[in-house]
Amino acid sequence: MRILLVEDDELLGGGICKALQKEAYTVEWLTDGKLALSAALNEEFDLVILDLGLPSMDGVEVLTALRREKCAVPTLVLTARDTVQDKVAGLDAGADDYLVKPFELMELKARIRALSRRSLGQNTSVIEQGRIKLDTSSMEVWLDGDLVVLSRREYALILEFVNHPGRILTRQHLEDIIYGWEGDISSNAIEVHIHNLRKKLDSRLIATIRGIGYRLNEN
Amino acid sequence: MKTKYSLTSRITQRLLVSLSLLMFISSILVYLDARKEVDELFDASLVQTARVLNGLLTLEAIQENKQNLLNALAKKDASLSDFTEAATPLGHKYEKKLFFQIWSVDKKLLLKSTNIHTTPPFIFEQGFRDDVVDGKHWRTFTLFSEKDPFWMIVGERDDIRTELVHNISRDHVLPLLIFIPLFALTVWLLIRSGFKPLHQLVTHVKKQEYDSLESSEIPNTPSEIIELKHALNELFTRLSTSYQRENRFASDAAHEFKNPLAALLIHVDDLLETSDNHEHTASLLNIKKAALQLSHLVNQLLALSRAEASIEPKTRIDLRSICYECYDQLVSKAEHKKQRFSLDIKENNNTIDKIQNEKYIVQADETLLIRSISNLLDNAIRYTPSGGTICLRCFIENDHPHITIEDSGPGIPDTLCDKVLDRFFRISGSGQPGSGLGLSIVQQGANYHDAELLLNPSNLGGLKASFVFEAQK
Repeated sequence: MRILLVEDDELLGGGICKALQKEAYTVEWLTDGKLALSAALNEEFDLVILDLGLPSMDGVEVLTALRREKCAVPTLVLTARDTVQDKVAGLDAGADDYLVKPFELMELKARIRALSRRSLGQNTSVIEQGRIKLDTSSMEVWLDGDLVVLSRREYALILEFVNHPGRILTRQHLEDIIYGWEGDISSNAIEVHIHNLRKKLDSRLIATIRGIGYRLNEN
Repeated sequence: MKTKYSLTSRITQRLLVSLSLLMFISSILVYLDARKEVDELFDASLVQTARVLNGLLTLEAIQENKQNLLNALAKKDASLSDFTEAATPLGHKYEKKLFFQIWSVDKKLLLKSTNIHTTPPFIFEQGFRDDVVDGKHWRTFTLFSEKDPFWMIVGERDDIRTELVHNISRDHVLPLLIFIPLFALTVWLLIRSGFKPLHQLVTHVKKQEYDSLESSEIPNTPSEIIELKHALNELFTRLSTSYQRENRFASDAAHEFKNPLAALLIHVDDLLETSDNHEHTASLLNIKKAALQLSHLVNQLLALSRAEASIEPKTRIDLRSICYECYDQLVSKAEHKKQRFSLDIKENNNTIDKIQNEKYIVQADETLLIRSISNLLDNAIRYTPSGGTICLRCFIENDHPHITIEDSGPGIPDTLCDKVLDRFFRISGSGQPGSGLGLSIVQQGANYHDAELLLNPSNLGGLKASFVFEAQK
């Protein structure tokens, strides 16, 4: 899952980045409102975590502009402003959820999970797709009821497949998902992870669509 | 200030005093001048009388016709013989008080007007003199006729002059005496109307609230006050700016605390998740506890600054719903501490009690009021030991809506009852974490709602905090 974090506070942004990366999320971190808007419009993200107090462009403005451009990415607003009016203004501008600073990491993670569930039309943290069962809160994966131990990146890949069953996911998309902008990816890094996944799960589970990417077989 | 006086009365008083003084001086001058003029006039007429008599009479004629003259005088003087104050029909009241005497050179009385009975010891010397004759003051003129050598003395009662002078002076003073009070009244009214813009300014300044200072807009301000008005308006602007800045400062500062706090919490949480060292975990938990306390403090500060700014509009709120809300918020916390937390509200369902229901409705800032009541409840829960009792009540007494929070905790010592409302004051040794701002917020909440906050000992053994609202019309 790829998350865009927009937070101008270095310490807080760094902390969130670090903590979320441990959860197998790919986090892109921007500190500027305008840059964040263009990134959110031009690239694909599963979630935006948006601070309201930003340089160059206020969080609410970013949000309003995003929604005006029909970008429906789930957005979690972070803010120090905690009055009812502030919350209403944020939610009315198009935020899906609201978290007042300071907050505990557990709550942030739970809200991210809840938001991504909602956007994918799921009701619980456990996703079942064919033979694969996946718990997004504990980051555990089962195949036919047996627990499979996956690396962080492998988990991120299988989560993406499970969230989009039957859809062809391009190599570029998958690279974005697990490496983001900073990754120095060797040309066949995705192939290596896919290979490992096939080995740990079942080789027939993920099909290669030549020249385009991969797809999770629904059965 | 010791010197407390009204400018209007002071100016009126001083004007009155100086005017009276001036009038007094002018009256004296008028009196003296009148006296002098009257004297000159009367003296001249006295001299003229003497000369006329002198021209008519000769020594020879007097000696030959003395008896005839005396008879004639007695006859003519009959109606003028005494000094009655009434005027004769064809005369004037001043005319009577005249006499004349004619003496021979060897100082024998030759002739005299009848109205003088005794012969005064006259000094035979020409000119004017003031004498006392028959116990009265007389102004006399003595003439020595050289042609027919005899002394002629013409006299006039002095009180005629005095009376005349008095009359002149009185006619001068009387209008002034009527005029002075009228003048004072007019001056007083004029000054009062002159000070009207000043009074308007005072009324305007009195009306000002610290949090909403407005510049005064008084039309037709006179130049004397316009400077004061400008200065006041400028002061208001400065005060209002600094008040807003002060308010913003607390809320800005609180906001600025939140980012580092959030970062601190995130990093600590992150470390806690991965830490497998027992010692590190314990320290991290302590750091987290401190960070959470700090975050509570920041939130309370923010709430206090918001309460002081009181920017939220008031709406019609049923106090009982506020109590339900606060009860719901905190009941689980009390249960967690194994305390008996009771809510005592009299619900009136029948329509007869509609009026009674209305009494619970007040104009309030819901968020602030809930925060105030829950702060009191939160204190009660925290300071009351496990197994204790806490009671939240809402009732009407003498038309005043009351909300009381009682507990069986340690209470507040009498000596500290005032101090606990101070910001950052905490009773030492309570063993409870807190910001020391909770009760300040409650106090602000009470102030904002024109309610009285009372801290008394409770029958339950602990503290009884009461919010007494004004009676609702």
